[in-house]
Amino acid sequence: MRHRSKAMGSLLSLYVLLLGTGLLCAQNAGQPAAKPSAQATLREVRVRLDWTPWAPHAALYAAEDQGYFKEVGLSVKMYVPPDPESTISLVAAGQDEFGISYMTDAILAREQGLKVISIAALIAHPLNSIMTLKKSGIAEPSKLSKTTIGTTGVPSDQAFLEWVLKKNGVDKDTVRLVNLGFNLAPALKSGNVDAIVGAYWPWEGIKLEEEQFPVNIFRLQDYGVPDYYELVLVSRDDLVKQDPNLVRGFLKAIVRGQEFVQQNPARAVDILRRVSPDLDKEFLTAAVNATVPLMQFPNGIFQQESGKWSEMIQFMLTAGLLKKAPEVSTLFTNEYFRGPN
Amino acid sequence: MTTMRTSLQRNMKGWIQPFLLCFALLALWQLMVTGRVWDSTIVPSPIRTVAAAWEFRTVLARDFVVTSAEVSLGFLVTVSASLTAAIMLHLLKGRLRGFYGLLIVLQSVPLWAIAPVLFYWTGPGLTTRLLVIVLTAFFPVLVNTVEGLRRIDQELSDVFDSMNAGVWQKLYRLEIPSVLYMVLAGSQVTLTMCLIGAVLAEMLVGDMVGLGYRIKAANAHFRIDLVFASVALLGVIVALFYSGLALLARRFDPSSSTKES
Amino acid sequence: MIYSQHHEPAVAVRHVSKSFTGNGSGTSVILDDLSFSIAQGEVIGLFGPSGCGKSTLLRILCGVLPFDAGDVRILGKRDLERRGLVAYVPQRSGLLPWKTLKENAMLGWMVMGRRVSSDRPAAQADALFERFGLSSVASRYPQQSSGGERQRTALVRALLTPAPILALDEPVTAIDHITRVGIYEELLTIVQEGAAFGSSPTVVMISHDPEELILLCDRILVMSQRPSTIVATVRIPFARPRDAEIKFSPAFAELKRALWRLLR
Repeated sequence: MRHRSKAMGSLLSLYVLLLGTGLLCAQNAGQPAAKPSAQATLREVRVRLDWTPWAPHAALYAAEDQGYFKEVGLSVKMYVPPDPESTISLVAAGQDEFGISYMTDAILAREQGLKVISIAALIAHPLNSIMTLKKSGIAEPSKLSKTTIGTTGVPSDQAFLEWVLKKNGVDKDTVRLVNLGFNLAPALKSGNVDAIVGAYWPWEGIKLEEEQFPVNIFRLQDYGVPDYYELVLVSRDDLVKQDPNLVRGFLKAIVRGQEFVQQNPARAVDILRRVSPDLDKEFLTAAVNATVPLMQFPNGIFQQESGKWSEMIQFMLTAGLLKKAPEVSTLFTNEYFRGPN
Repeated sequence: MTTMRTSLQRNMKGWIQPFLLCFALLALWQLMVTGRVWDSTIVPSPIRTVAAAWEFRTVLARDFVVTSAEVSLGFLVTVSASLTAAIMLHLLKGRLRGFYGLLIVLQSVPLWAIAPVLFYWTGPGLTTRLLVIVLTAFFPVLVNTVEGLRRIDQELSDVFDSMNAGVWQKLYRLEIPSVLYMVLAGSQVTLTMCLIGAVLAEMLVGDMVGLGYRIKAANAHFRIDLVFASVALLGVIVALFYSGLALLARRFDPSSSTKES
Repeated sequence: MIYSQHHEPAVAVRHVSKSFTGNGSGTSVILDDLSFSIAQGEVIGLFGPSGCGKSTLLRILCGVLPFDAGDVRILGKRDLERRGLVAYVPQRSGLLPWKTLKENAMLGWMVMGRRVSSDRPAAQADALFERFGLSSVASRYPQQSSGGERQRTALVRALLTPAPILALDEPVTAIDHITRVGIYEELLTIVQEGAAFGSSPTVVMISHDPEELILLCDRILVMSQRPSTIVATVRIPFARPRDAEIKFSPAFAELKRALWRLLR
């Protein structure tokens, strides 16, 4: 009997210990690990990516690796979103200072009253494309009638597809759509679908070729869709207003990062491989080489043109993705590329 | 002496059979892939899985430690929280019935659906991951505990009542030990739920470490050999923690040792 | 055994009714105006169709369930005073899973013993365990033991309390037939041994098995479907001490037939 109460006593003290530990952890966790005092003056900034780190993020990671962020007083940490569509909401909610998202999401967010603005464009052209296997014989979008096409389930992807079909004389009612989430490539390889939309030609396109599955790639802008910016960098309205130097510093650093990538693509690949070790060197090299030319902007690295935004708004209105067009001036700004620093 | 030898023999038999079975299954798996019965771009062979584990050993080692830590911490917090809640619900029985009903409804809300919304307030980092783990594990464990308590409750309570036991006697001899016992008995379930929660947390919460994140990223990067290697490591975590639990249980609750027959 | 005025009935039930309020389906009457008496030292069986309220009645007698109308006296005492006079052996033994069989058996003494002196309970427990064939499993836990072992432990627990009345809810239903015979013999021994010393326990037991009741009981109360009343009282004429041989007598068969007929 005494043995039992001893056990009971130890159980109770274990319980108290558990409770205490739990509370302590809740207190301390969430705080980033203590940094050495030399870096105590750096402002911590969070960037929410659109996906896992790869080629389009090269400038960002180069800036971090080469100390460009540190030089403007920033300590930048990158995070992966639960899913790509969450990034803009997380930025709007104040969780992350910057986010990498899409023009469509940015426009829809503004329509819903989210106060998020695009401060830079990261990729000047669409990466999104429609793909078919070469061996399927579907060499042109016009041959897509009576096929099964896999989509991501994202409404804009479906809209892009339907636009291309329309512009190329295919009745969309003859096409069967299948929601594959982001597992597009396996379905195409196995022949479960005849075509996919929502895959990036520098990502799935390169991968599929590597795996001996040659593909036909129909770049959206070649088949009637406006030539839009695939990735944009967004931030909160109030943040950019209250802390313009933060934004200016950030943009200055990533511009320098992009210059570094252009001059040192092999080192950029190494930097990316450190954070995504399971992307092999050949793939990343091909991807970086493919995306760097897409970062040529007429007015300066990452700087946006209002025409692109108006075109996208127009497209979304016509496609039924958008009901009320937001003011273009609320959607983007280039002003943080200039000014005092 | 004979009993010692036979018990050693029994132990060996106990180990050999599952080991042989594992080996046979692995060999079969390898054959299926080499023989192209299974598509090697969808299912990697065991050899490729091990090769991937070796190739990414530093990364996986770190992921392993991170996920283990999350499971441990999550387990501690979940047990504390559900113990507290179970005791409260048990002692305040009828009065909290409405609250309990609410808990049952909350339990059925899929966490992965509301998580992105939840993260508007909590951000990345360990606290959020712990939150996801506790949210995943807490409700099922609590409901399990309370239901289990209900089941053993009435007859035992009657026995105590028939002996004219006082309120404090009942509390000390029946109610508190019942709660502790149920939580302990359910600790395996708790552990499983915490592991599920940890993997879910890592797939949702943005820090790029942990086996759950590794699976998500490797899958996106078309490295299914790494996916399988990470899953295998998750299995190792499960095995380690279960043994740890069994050891703990034996120390604190001798009745949990297996039935001798 | 404790204080008992010799002529006071062990159990006196008068016009007892009990209803349960269902979850939204209104009240259902389980027991309807039951009256009966049990003399000290009698062994009574409760027999009736499933769900007719036998367990409910038993729990009322044990003092763990309140009733709506009528009067229940145990050895002349009522309300809270009568608690502790009836030792309850529930259907599934009601043992604490975190204690050994022996510790469980001592529970009754531990809970009640401080109030009523009982010398050397551990020794008594050992003796009873010996008698019931539980000595070898005394340090096992309930989930390591068979149903029969658990049920016998619960019986020992009841015997170790000072309560003079035993209430058994289907004591052998979950046990195989071979083990049952052993338990019947033990029960018979307890009852008949006690009678030899003038202080035999009063026993109320529930069962679905008429054979069991005829073998063990002095009287069997047959209950009806809900709302329950007592439709008949069957006297068992076999003299004590009894042994299992009576099962093969024609009178036994007659009684069995009578009981089954009464069920309808």
